[in-house]
Amino acid sequence: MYRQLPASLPYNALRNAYSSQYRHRFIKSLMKMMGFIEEDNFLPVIEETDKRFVFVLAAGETQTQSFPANDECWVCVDRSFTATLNTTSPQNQFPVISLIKASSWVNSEVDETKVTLVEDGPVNLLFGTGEWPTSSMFPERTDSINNRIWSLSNESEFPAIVTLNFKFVRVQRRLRQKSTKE
Amino acid sequence: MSDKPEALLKRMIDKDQWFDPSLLLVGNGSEDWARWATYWLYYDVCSSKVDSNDWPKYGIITQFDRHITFSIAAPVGTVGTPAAIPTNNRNWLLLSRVASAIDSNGNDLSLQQFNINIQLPNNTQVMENQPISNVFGSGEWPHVLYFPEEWEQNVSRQVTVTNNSGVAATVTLGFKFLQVRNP
Repeated sequence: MYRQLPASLPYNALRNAYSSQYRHRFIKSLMKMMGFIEEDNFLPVIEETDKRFVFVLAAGETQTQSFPANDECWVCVDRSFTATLNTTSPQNQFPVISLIKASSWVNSEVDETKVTLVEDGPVNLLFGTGEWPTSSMFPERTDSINNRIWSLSNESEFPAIVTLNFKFVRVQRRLRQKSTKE
Repeated sequence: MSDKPEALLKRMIDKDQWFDPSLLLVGNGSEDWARWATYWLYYDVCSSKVDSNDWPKYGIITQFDRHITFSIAAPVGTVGTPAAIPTNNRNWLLLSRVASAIDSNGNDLSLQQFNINIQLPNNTQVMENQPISNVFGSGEWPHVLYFPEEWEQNVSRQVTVTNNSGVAATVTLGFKFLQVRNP
């Protein structure tokens, strides 16, 4: 299942050659390591997708949301966020973003215990500045994403709308189309 | 995988050892470094007799964030209660550091107004007393290490922060690590 990989990627391949063949090779290598098998009648398709959570938080409120489990190969390459005041329009930028705290964990597949992956910290230290995303040097992989739970706490005195975005590169197994030349 | 130094050295040039391809995206990007980093992270995770191709069955390299927070009173020069960052029974790699400082209303303060000092248990200064902005990024941008720092298992670093802002402040330090966690 796990074996020596033909991986020969250049430095920062995933980011510098984001849409190039290198990303494809990287994902292919990752698929092999994770036990994905390229079956005869299935074609692995690599896609980029943005998944988001929207938290509508009253002052002092805490909410939790999670990604559902799936059997695809997902890799998170960056995270970003937006925070606005939850007031009548216009929605102004949230003034004290450091008081929005985020934490994240997975439940162990072995004994169901809580494995903390992000200790409680200001959202702007985890999701970029609000203008720029936080790129992952080491892509977060499917094992960290399946059933991964995110919690946000609004420790300010203002109501907030916080949108967290996760940019994934994912591999789906599509049924291979039959050739028309048969 | 507890090895004596000579065996450790041999492993560094063991071209047959499996490595995690994601590690080619950090460090210097070479396969040799990725191989070494894989070995570093999987050190002591399983018996040294286990074939490297089977290491992922014992745990998966996972990125995680640790935060420590200091609440420090207003007078200039006040030193916050020291905090520790202990590693567990795994070797870690530090990828980046971030920090923020806010007043009691949640408004951002300049990181230049806070000094930091980090030392190892044998009183080795790994970060001499200086403004946080020099070593933890600007507050908006993280400080990404040019080369991931190796944090050995079961070592506790002591962190001290000094408030020179003149107002009561909360300082949060964030660290992004890799380690092997059980599947």
